[in-house]
Amino acid sequence: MALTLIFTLEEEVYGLEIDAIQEIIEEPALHYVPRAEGVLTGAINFHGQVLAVIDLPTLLGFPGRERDHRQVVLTPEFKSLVLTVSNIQRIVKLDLTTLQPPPENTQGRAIRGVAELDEMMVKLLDTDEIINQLENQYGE
Amino acid sequence: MDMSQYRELFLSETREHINNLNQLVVTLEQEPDNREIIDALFREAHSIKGMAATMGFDRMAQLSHHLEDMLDGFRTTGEVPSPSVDYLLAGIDLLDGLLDDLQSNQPERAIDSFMICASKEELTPIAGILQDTPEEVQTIVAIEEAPEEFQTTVAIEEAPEEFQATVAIEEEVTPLTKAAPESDAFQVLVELAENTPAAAARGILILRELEKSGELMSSNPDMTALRSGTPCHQIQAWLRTSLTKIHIEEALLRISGVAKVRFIDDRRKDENSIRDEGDRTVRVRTGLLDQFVNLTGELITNRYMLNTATSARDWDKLTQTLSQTSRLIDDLHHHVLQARLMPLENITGRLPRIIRDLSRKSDKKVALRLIGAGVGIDRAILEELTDPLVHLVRNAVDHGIEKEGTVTVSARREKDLVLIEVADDGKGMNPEHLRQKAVDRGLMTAPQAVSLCDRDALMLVCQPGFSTAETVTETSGRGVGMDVVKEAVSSLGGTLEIISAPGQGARFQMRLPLSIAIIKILLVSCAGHPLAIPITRVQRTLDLSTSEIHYSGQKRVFHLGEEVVSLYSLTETLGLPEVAAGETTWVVLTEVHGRRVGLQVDHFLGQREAFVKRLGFPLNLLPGLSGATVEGNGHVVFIIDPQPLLEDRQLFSND
Repeated sequence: MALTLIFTLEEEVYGLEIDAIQEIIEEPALHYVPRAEGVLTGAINFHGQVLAVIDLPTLLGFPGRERDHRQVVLTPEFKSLVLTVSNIQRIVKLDLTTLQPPPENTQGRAIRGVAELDEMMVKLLDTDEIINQLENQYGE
Repeated sequence: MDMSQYRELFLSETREHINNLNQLVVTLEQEPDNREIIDALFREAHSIKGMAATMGFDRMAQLSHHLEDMLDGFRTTGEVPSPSVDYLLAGIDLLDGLLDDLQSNQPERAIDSFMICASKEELTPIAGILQDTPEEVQTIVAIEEAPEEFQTTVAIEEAPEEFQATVAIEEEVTPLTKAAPESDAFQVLVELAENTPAAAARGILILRELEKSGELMSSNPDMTALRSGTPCHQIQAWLRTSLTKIHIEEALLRISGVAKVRFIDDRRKDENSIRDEGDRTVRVRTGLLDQFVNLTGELITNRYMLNTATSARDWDKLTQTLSQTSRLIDDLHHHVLQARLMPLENITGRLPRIIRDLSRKSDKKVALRLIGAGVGIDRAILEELTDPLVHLVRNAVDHGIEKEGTVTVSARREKDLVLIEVADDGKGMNPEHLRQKAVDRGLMTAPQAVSLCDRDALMLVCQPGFSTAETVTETSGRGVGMDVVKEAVSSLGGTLEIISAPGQGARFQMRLPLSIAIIKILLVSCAGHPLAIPITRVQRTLDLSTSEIHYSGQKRVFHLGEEVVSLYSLTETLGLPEVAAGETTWVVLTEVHGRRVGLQVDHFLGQREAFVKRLGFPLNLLPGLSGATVEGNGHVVFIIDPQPLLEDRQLFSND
């Protein structure tokens, strides 16, 4: 069983494993990053470290503008990226042994697989893939 | 006894001794019967021998022993025959090669051929072969294998005093590469149960337990990471201990939360982990350390004074103590930076030897003058500076000096910068030739070339692929050109300037910041966003009235003396909304590829010192951002590098 933070994006439920999360912070001041574009929306001062803020809904291809006032700081293993998400719900226990492969129409969306929880389908985010996508987008 | 902790000390000291050997041999060549130099050479070789033997680096000990014997012979005869100088130098090169091997954790290269040459005692013909091709000799040497069973005959008491002082703490000496027989090294993998609360705290307990059972060599995560609260699920640790595994396992399993303990035996990995561990070292005078202690003591006292003043609500006292504190912090900052400084001679030490070899190869008579080699520079900068400096010196010999001349390498402080200059008294550079060459190479049109002032024309040599030498010579090779020097200097936040005229020699000036962690910045704002530009990137600031700005086609330009300077808007370059132009245009004068450009900003917010924070992913991938700094109010301000920003913009406008 893996503790997972779940949040909703439009009609879909997404999950992010707690192990990848360093902290959830309330409304940090967002600072201007010169020439930032796309999913990179700014930077925050996190205990003296300058961290990039990534807009997850945009990265996942959702056009909606609804965002949660809280932001998720990933662990140093995942470059301490700060993720802006939408509608943070709660932390649940997911049984990862029953993880199903991601549905066809979500390819390229950084989803590791789908787990079932109380008749809900939770799409588990693939943090490594998020970093891959950023590397592709900003490296060269 | 574990010698790994002395490894860095050994590497840096031996490098120094080799440097000294090189310098001494070059001097010796000029004064072959100078006894003092022969004695000094002997002492250097002796020091290397003692240290290498202590560390268990057999081949280096053997080779330095051999050199020492040879030098001892010269001491008796009182002079050094000139073929032996080449042989000595080849030996020193081989020592240097061995040190490189040790530094990169490779096995020491073979030295047999060199030693065999020596045993025949026919130095003259051999030296003839060795003369200009030490590299070749080394490649031949490397093919052969040295006998593994070579036993060092050098006992520890022969180690030079200063080194012995550090190793004498323990009596038993074990070479780094072999594990002590009675203790065993292995990797311990400790897994925590899933969802263990306060995992980091348990991690600390585990590391403490391991420390108790033997010598904890390294761990992942380590103590520092755990103290800062890094979550962990398993701990990998390298342990050297005489206790049994069962014993350790039992002790670890007593800690609550520990689910599983595994042991992995792998000697080879073990050695690597010891060797990778070594952090780079810098030598600090003990006087400086004492000052740290004193300052820290004063700061502690100050903290109590602040506490007292706060609880008494004594504002006068508070203000007074605060200003004292800030003075102490400035002082501490200054001293901490001092500790990072290393004298320039750390890299100029190689130059006499380089000049000697170059003179021979090019058949020119070149003298070297070193001025200000004691000037201190941040070690990080110094390391990056080695190659550019050597390149400039080679260039001076190759392209500057014609038959005979002097290369002067000088360094001096200029406010917050260090100026390092490589000057020659050779034929100088002709801006007119350079303009012509640029046109020939298709780098620019003839009218463009004519519009370049002399200063900019000289900087053309820093363009990639631009070369003034008609033929490529062996020494400079021209493979690594001035463009690489320019890039290296820029990446350190410095600037490069060339001063030369036909027949008047050439001076290559590198201006570098003293330290890279703290830099002076100019704060500007564009569309309401503050931005920082390193002062080293700013030539000056200007305020132009509307009438001073002209149009040349689509481009805005202004006059600066004789020069016509292009003006770009930083706001527009950053893709920010432009603010309607007022009466005055604020301009930062900077340099892009050796050409001056004006960068229009909305406001100047002033100069200050900034602690540079390195950027994490993916901010580090954005062009034109060299770091960030956090202001007193917690705001993040990015430090921009104008050159890549404008380059990007030009690419954009060409499309």
